[in-house]
Amino acid sequence: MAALILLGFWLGRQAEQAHLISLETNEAQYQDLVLSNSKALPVSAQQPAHSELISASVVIASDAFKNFLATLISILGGRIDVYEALRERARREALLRLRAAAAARGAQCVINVRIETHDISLSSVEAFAYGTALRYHTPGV
Amino acid sequence: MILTNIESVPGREILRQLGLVNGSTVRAKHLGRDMLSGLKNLVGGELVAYTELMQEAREEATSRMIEQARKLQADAVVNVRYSTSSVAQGAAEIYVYGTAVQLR
Repeated sequence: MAALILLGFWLGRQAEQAHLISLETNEAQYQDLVLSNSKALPVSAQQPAHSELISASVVIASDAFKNFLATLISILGGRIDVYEALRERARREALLRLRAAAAARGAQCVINVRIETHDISLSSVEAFAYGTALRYHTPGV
Repeated sequence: MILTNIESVPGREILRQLGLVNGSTVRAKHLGRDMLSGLKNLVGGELVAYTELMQEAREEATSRMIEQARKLQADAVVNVRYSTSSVAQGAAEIYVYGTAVQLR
């Protein structure tokens, strides 16, 4: 049991670090693609050529060590920072995939972005992001 | 069928609102054979099969909403909102709703 938890700690940390690095790399790739959670058009005078609803999601599992730590903290009280980090990673990944989906459709930005985060099971979380992707005639708005 | 989650279709004028349309599915969140997921739950990482499961459920709910809109002879559904909630033991309901409209 302790061995499983230690294995979870080691492999879980590897997976988390790898994911954080990949998030940073890929987010840099899409930094010109603006996300907004307002309904306003980015440039109010300019009408986009095309708009469509897009969405993206990811389900990430926690590891045995995080679950063990979370159970401990929920008995003792306090912030469960291991789960905070997990949910935040899931949201970042979902938003990254939303950007990728927008870029694949030739869109320059996504407006009215909404994010849902909820549990799939006791130890995995889904982040779901959706919004309206806007494509303009002249790129680089 | 045009879908947006803002109150209009940019560049197009809404002629008439046809009413609320919606679609929903209730899916078991767990797959039949959970062996690989059990391993992932030990070490963490993305559960690709679950991601796809939820995506399919959302696509199904969305296509049911689009079908309702088609029956009303709508051109678009605007202000689309998604809602996900847990139902009973190990199941999730995906509920999507919006306003069906006719465009000029």
